[in-house]
Amino acid sequence: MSIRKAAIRGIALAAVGSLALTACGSNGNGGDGGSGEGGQVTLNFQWWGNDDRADRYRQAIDLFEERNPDIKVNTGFAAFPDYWTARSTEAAGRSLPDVMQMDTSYLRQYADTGQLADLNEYLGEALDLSEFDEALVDAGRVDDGLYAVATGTNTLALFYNPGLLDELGVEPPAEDYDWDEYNRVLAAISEAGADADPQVYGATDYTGTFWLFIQWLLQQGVEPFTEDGDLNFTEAHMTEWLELASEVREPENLTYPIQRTVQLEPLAGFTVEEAAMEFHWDNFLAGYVGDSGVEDLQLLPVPSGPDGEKRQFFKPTMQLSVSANSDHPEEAAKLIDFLVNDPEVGAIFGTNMGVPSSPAQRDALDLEEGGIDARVVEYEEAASEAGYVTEAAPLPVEGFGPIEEEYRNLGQEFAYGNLTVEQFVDRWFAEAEIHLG
Amino acid sequence: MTLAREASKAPEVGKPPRRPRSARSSRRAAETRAGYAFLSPWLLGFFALTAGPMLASLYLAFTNYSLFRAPEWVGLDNFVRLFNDDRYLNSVKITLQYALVGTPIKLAAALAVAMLLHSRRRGQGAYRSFFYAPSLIGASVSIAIVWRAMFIDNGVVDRVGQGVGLSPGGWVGDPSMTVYMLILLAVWQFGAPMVIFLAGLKQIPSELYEAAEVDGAGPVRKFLRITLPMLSPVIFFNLVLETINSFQVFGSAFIVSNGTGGPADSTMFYTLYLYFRGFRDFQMGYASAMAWVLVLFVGLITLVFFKTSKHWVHYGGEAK
Repeated sequence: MSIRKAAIRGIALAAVGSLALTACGSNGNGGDGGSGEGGQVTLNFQWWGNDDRADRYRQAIDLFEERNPDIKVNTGFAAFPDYWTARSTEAAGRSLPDVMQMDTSYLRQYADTGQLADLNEYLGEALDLSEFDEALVDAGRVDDGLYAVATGTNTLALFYNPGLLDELGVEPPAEDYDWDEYNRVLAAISEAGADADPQVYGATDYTGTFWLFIQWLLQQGVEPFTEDGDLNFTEAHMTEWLELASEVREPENLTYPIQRTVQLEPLAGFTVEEAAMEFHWDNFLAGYVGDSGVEDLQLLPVPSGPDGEKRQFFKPTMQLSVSANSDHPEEAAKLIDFLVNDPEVGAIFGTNMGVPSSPAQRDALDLEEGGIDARVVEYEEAASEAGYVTEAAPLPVEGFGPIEEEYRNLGQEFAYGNLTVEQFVDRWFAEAEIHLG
Repeated sequence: MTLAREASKAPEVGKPPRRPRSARSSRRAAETRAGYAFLSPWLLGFFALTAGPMLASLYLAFTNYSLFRAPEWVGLDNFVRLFNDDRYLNSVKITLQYALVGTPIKLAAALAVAMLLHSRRRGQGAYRSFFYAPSLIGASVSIAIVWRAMFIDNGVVDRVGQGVGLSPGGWVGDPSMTVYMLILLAVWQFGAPMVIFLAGLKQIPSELYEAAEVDGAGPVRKFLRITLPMLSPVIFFNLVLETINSFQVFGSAFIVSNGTGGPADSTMFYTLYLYFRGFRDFQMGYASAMAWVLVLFVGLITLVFFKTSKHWVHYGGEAK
């Protein structure tokens, strides 16, 4: 009898134990951080990035907790693709973190499906965006709801390595260059660098970058997406774009070899000084300088379109959102307000998350003459003043992330010569139909 | 066998019960209950974490489900789409290539090393540990990273190749070679089947070899006529296990390609593609369909192995 009793007791314990374990497991890093002792509120904050950004966030969060002793912030981070994998599963279980970094390419997906809190009701109180550029605030709106706040802006730029160009005796393009001129410079560098050790190329094949295609579409006067989230361009547009670089691919391929690019990841031809130019978002300057060790990398605007206009646009570098399932949306809005407005935070981040959105943070930047942050800020200011930035950032469509990824993948296959232009276009449109339809 | 039969017969009510039946059956019922209670943590896990999700994914395979919105019934659309999806067909092709080339090489290597380590010599234990070690560490992330570093331009493999007059170049950037790089990584981890082969070799009675020697059989003949047939149940076991494993290859490809399945989809194995569609593109319905096709396919392969096994697998004591 007593043995049976003991056995039953043991089973009961085991059962309770296993339940307790499952309970712990399901809690994970969900957004249900409750109130702790003394009315303290705990927020969960997730973002993507690397160690460098982690260090900056840590400093900023310490400052926030110091100023707001009743709020505690738990953070976590991952690389961009893994970050979205984790968020999508949390979204399915309605357990998104209170505050999360957001990207325009995913904004619609999360906002349209009711995953994000509308920040309109905190405007002017917990969240002050009065000093922000209106277009930038609007970039966080989806159908009147305010779902994301931009940390900063960036725009596309051509990076070049002046030292390398000097060695090869090739001049960088003039500011009013167009795509044909860019092809010529690219070819000239590759020809001059053919005998260098290691061999130096002009740049990678730029047609494989989706955002450059979008930039080019804007230059053709084509808005890439429609209001209701459909494609607004045709197969003919994409074909023309892909063939734009055919003169540097044939008869001899003068673009940076894809085999090398793949092997160098996460570095790139440009950062190991085997390619002299590269297009990217301007806030990548700090990363490029860090990776290559070349201090004086320079920025140029993108090539001009057929009418000589650049038609560039400022895109929110990244945004911050509050999840709809957060128990403490007001405190979450307060954290966002602090991160985007506080001058000290501005000084901590520099241009790591783009040129800061708020003037107070921009003024707080340590703009040492010729320094990295100064170069990025100057580039954006000069681009605005010269009238290069004339377009609004394209409307993000639901499914943008996957169609961009599909483009990247096809671009790689294309660079390996596994696909013709026609196959590329056919396959991309077939995929886009699935993701947008 | 007879004992077991006796045991299973025992509870049948043939002989008069020694105790009142009700007491006995209630005790048996209590034992059953206790048995299930002790099983409960496992059963809970099985139903909640394995069977439940599997059924759910079977349903989802017939829907369009983006994780963000409720699933929408689409019938067989997902399955039809599979056969028109070039990237999917490519993933099937390279996964088959990986399994069909990799598994036999791995098993052959395991058997060869097992034969070498089988004979008694000094330091036998140490040798076995050395050869088993890669299996312990091989599945780790760090090894996949080292593997990547070995196969880039001017990496270890490239330089050694140059030293002997070949120029293999960097395999990491060459879509036609990446799959072989991963096959090598898998073959290198032959420890687990090797240990099983070793155990199998020990089971072969040495009289068989002695008798064969007396009859003048050479080593090749002994291997073909004694070792292989006697080992066939173990070979069968390893073959089934390794084949199933290789269809599920994921981690090494994910890391060697920096999580992209590249270059040019050359390491986009079946499970990797499934993961991409499910968790990167949020096409859970489509990914579920892929998962079920894989389950059915692996099931079919296993069935074929079992059906054909009676022609080549010999169990001890059977006449042949």
